[in-house]
Amino acid sequence: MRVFLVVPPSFEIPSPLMQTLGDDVVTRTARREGQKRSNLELIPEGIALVLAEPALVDFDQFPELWRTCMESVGRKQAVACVPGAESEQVLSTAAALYAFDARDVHLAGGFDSALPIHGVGLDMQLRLAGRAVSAVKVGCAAITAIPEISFADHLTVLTKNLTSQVQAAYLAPLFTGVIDNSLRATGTDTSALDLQRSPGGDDVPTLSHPRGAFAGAEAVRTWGASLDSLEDSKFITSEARRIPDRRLPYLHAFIDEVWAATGIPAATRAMLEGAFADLRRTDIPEIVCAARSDDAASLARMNEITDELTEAAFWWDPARQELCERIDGQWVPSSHTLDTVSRISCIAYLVGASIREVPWVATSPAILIADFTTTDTTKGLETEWVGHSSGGTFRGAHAQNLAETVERADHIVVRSVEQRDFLLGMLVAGMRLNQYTYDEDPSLNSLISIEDGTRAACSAIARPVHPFERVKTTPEYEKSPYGQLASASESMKETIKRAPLKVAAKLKGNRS
Amino acid sequence: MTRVSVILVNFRGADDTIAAAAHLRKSQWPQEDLEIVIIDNDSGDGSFERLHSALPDCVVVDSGANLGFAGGCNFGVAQSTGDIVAFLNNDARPDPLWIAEAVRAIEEDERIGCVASKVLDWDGEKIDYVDGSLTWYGMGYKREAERPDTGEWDIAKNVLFPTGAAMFVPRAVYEELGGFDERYFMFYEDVDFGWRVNLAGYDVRYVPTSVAYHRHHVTMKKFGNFREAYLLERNALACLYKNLGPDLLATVFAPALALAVERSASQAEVPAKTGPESYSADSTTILKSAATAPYAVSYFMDILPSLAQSRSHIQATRKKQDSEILPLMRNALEPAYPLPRYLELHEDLVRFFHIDRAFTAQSKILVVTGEPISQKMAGPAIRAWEMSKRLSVEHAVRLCSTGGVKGVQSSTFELFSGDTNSLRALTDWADVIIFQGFLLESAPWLMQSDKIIVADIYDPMHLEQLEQARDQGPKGRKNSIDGVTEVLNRQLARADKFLCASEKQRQFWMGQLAARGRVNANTLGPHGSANDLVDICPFGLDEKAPVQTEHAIRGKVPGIGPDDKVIIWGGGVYNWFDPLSLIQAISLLKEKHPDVRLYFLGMKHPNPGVPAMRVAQEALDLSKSLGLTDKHVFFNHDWVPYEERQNYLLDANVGVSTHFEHIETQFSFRTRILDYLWAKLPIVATSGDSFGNILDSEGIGISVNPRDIEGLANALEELLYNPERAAACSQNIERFARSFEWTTALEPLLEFCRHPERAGDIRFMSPAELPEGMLGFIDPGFDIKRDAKLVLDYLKTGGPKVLASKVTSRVKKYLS
Repeated sequence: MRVFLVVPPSFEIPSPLMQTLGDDVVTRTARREGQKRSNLELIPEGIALVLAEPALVDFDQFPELWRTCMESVGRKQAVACVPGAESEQVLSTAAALYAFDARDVHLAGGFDSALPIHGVGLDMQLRLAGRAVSAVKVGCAAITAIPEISFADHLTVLTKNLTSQVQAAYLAPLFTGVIDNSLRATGTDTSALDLQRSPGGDDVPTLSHPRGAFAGAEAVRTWGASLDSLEDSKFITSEARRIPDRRLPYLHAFIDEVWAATGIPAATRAMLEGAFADLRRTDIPEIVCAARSDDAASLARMNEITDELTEAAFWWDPARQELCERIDGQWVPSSHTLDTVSRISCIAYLVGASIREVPWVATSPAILIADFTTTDTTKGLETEWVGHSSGGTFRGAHAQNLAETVERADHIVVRSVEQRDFLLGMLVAGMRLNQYTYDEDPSLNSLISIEDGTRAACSAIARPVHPFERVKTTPEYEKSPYGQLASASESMKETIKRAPLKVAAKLKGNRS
Repeated sequence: MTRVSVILVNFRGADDTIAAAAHLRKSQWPQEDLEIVIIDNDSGDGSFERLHSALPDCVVVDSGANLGFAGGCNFGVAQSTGDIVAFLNNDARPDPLWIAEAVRAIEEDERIGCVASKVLDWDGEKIDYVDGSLTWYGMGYKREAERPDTGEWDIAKNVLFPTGAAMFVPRAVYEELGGFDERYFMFYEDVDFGWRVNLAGYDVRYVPTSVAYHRHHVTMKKFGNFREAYLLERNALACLYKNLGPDLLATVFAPALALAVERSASQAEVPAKTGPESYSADSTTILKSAATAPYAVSYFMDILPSLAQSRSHIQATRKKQDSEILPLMRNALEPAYPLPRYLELHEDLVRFFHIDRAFTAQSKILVVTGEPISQKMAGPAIRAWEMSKRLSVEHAVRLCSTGGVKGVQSSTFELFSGDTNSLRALTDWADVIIFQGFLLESAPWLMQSDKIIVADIYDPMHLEQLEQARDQGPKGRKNSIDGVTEVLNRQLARADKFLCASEKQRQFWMGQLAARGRVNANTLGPHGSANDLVDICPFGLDEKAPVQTEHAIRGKVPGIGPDDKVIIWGGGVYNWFDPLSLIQAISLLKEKHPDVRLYFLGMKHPNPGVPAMRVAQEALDLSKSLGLTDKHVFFNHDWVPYEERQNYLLDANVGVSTHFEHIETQFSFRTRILDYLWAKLPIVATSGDSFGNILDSEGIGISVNPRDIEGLANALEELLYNPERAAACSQNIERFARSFEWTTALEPLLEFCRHPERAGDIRFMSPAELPEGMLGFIDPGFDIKRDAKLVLDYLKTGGPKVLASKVTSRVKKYLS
């Protein structure tokens, strides 16, 4: 099996490791301090290993560790190897060794060669989790401990992987705590500049302080200085994402790790998070259901589904153009605006409604689930006339609406085999049935499912994922070997169009 | 009578305080209803004793400790008895009407929860406070400070916060809000208070007639700069934290912390010329200025539990949303500190966290006109100017003319000549762009931008072209008509809001909008009507009545005597007008009334791009052939400066406007009629346009049928020689004209700009999906004589830059 191995700078690979991995190994060194980028270009085949902390690996037991990695990657998992024997699902976690499917890494945009070795593994596991690859930490006897990853590395990974909106809510208490913590931990007298508490000494321009007092301020300052360089990699990450931030599995556990890296006491963290709790907008439902109030069947179906949910949902009524929230079992007009809903909602569930009736959805990153169980999909088509004006739309309004909805839907719920067949036909006309969808799920049930009560609906809501073919970068990365990605011979227009690919190439350390 | 308590806080400034109290006693306010409360903030320099003996008519109290400005004020209010409490810095001098004007405003409008006085420097020459601005990172600032007070900030308006140097609050409001936040000690307690007044549902009203004069910063000059910086940093964070709603606070708080850290580090490193090493792990000493933000954050942490309680209460009881507060912040994206690393970070943070998008309700407004802005302005330029003037009362405004700017300036808005480069910068700067004419062709990037765009289509220029382009031959005429129609179609496809001049125009534009698919459920919402897309903002007239400074016609124009009867033609002469019937009417009228005089105000349009028109020459020829020129008919072969037009109008007895029966006429809005109304001139006009049809019913003039020479002569005779009729018209005009005063006429636009938003049907659309098509281009063909004249005229009005821009634009269009 082909192995792509990323190791820390100046690391000499021990022979047991090489013996286990075999001959087909490509080794790359992660960025060393002072270096801007390293070359982490990989061939999208086999397994990619990130040996983040060799000192915490017992290489005598490496063959067993390698077997575990191969099995897990074979199960389409992104693996962080930790001490012990237990396995657990994660978003991303500190580990001495990471193992990934090299093709998954490639389709996610490749390793970020600007990161130090710990960041490379942590970042890739999070990015793969965001692409619906199952991220796990697997207990292995060969791993002796969990490495300590710095707050700065955690912060970089968080910054480049979460949307600005979501991360800002986490960063507000975090930065407050970090700036303050080093002052407090070093016993610094922070009242020195306060006219009220420390008058006098105004003619002295400096003050003395314990060593490390401003470590928090320095961390935040360094982070600020890195923002510009993080933008490209953040763009790559977001372009390749399949799951909205707020639905990332085990995000809270990852945030716990970031806090742990700051050294801020738990009580202080609790106070800070409490003081900024409303910024996370947990009060705003992340699911919005759309059904017309003048369509009794769709309305009943929507209520049936929302009754099953364990979380709150909005109801958007296109007939009255009204947004409602359910309070004490009753739908009442919401105080939130469509702008808020368009920003916060992760899932739009349309019951018998067309995409045009939910105007923000077409351009939103939310997962769109189109439920046709209450719709006679062909009825409207049979009675409408087509347009024959030159330059006008041929399709009738109903056909147009239906096609737009089907083309945008991330998941479709139908009531019968016949309806499924019909909509599969519509999907294929829109080039939606292709190798990416098929390779992930040859049955296509993850794309279009037949309802049984509310099971299909609830299942789709529980696993909100953009299908591969709706993620723009998938086909681009698939068809473009790295050499071409950075080709300088493209026209300017092509260059602009291919900007994500060029940036990806840059991140991977590829040189044209 | 309302009892007013004025609170002064003294800290080692007894001389200033005694002087301030003496000035207060000169107020035009009943002394028995004026209570002066002086709090000595534990000065420890004998101040209290001095104040006590020097001011026996004041309540002088020793606070027992330095409570800061906020604590001192609160302590003062507790000692006071007034219905309204006022705060005056002890180094300030109130105008005698300072109290009376503020109290009058409060008593006239119950929405007012605080009056912000106008504050000038000690000499009354420069601005100290006329508005309060706030950055996204919590720093309050005064945009207009240090500018000369030219009287352009004398319009009352709502603001985010007053200056603590001079302000008034009804006691009930003060108590409801718990007064100033004493955790601030000093600085930004006024910002925080004003913000809370707004959130509680009241207005903070800037009252420009309530004036105080201030010797700035006497107190803080006694201490090091780092003291002030520290207080500003920590109080800015507290202001943000307490008052911003969760969405905006989430967006800005972490970036604000990062920016604060960089600001303090840079403020230390730039003067010291060191690298970015203030917070080096090895160091054990630090410049105090570099420690300000980290220490401020630490203080913020100390008081966070109590701030969290305040936040919880403020947010739970707020009555105004952030969208209503944002416009009051004015320019929140102002970086304010000229420090290189800091500015770089500011830019990065704004981009990375989309802070600019979060603050789109901010109103940085760009007004663009294609007409030259100069002393001699035509209707569109005047309209753009007046819009800018009115909008700048509440917003940061830039006025740009792609035809050039020359010889004029404004203190309240900025002026720009718009070549392509500056247009790009200006449109990037703006949140809201209001334009007339061909901006989308000069700035095609706007088609795909997410800027809020207001198309001012008060001039249906495609209808004008039907007549105006008649002189261009069949091909030129077709090109002009099609080109302008396409230009308007694109505006209708892209703009978020439309302005027209009349109800009739609105119906017309709605039809054209419907054809472009813009009349739809997305735009109109559940309760909207199609009319909401297009607001009626007619041309306006100045609220201040015209004052003649000199005669411009009578006794000035040879042939027109002081007692002659003067009819004025108050604008240009274009092909859709009918000056010929009018000249013939004058020819009839002069037989009976030899003292009749007709004066054409401007034969040469100030915009070089507007061609000389056939009918203008015909008018000159007809007048000459009838022997009327310079005897009964007079032509100004130039254009009258905007600021001097009242001297002409007030020399006239009657204003006149005659036109042919054209489609343009039906939809036009004659701006010259507004000038007549402004000057209270009885009007004679052809029926058929929006004014011509109401002259008789409103009793402001007489309408006549198109080309009715005799009717025209009779109407003119009636208004010129029947003084009772003329006086009645003038009286009716006074009433009628009020609805056309600029502020009233522009109210829909002013309201839109307070809460600007994208149109419902394109707000969620990907910009790339917007209808685009070919950029508009009216091909005027090549004409050496005309083009040479254009070159000269553009050089004159806009200089080489505007000329180069025009040439490049035309060549590009041909090449595309």
